[in-house]
Amino acid sequence: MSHHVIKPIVRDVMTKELITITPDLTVRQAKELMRTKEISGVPVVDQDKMLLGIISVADIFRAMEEDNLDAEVAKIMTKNPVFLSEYDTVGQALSACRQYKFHRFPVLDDQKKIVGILTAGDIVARLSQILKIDQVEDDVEKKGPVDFTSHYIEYPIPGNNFERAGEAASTIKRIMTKLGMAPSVIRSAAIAAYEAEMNVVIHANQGLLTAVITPRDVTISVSDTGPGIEEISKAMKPGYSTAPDRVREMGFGAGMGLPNIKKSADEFSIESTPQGTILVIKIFAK
Amino acid sequence: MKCVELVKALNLSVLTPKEINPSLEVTGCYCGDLLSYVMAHAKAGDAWLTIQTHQNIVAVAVLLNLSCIVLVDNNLPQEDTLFKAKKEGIVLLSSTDNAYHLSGHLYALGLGR
Repeated sequence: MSHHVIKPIVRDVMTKELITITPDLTVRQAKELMRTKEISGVPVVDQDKMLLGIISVADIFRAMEEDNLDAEVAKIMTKNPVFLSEYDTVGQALSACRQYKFHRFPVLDDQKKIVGILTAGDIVARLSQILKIDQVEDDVEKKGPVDFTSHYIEYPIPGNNFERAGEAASTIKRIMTKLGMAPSVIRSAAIAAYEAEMNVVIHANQGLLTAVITPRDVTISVSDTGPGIEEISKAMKPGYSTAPDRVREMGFGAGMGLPNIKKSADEFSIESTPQGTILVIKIFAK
Repeated sequence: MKCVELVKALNLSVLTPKEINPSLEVTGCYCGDLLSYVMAHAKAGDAWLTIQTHQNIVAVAVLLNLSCIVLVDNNLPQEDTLFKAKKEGIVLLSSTDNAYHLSGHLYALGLGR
């Protein structure tokens, strides 16, 4: 019942509509091309599409300062630029972005010919498409179950912040509603997520809620950074609570949090150490 | 029964919204001040009678699709509660009566039976 793991490679996310130039163009021509096409960098290639270098806005500025606008691109381009292989994973591409602080990487095939260009923006745009993050809004109008494979939600939960408490659970509920899931499944997920979220708000320093929603099931994980639950078996008993009075006066700390989660979940696991607690809640979409 | 009928029958003050949707149905009622009990037992469409006034009651109402919240015993919402209820479109009502009298009245009207 685990969700579909997506491991996209560079080829899946890169821009294939490629603008390249040859090294014999003048810097002035390159500058005009970049201005009209609204791009901030162009790969320089030979007739066989083999990568020779890359020219960026920074290179153009430098050429202007040095009065080199009529020089050939070959003279001012960055030679031997960092490139990606089309079979590199998006994870590798992201670490390249971090390592080199570049915004744009040429992508080469096995023969070292250029086949695309990858920007951080490409990665974000394609990933959100693959994960269908950007399609939720469009799906609102549709009736009935929406066709989707897997939907991922990540929501930080600040400890002791009653102002935002409930937002993570509300987000899950809203997205499940938009995805057209059954009301009984949404209710169980909302109750479980709310109780887990409140446990973090009341007891922990900082937490993170993630949810993977598929047409078959919903898996909610809530982790925090401590201080952990001393005796889980006691905490699982209805009515047992360690919540401070201040919080009890607000109606929390009834000692029903974990029992409510367990009742709502089809599968439930809890692990706790002083370094943190991890809850995993699974609800089947029956 | 309609929410607007409930407001009239119990002589409730409407805190938000300015105008309650006339087609909004109330199908049952739940009384409780411990939020986990409310989460576990209140049903969609219920009117929720409570003395809690802090903003998390709005989250509970949203999550459960409750029809309205009735603050009993003359309790008034904290400012951020009112703000959040407006934002989330939750009907927030108040009464000078206590939960016992209000629910007795609703029971007699046949709500949720």
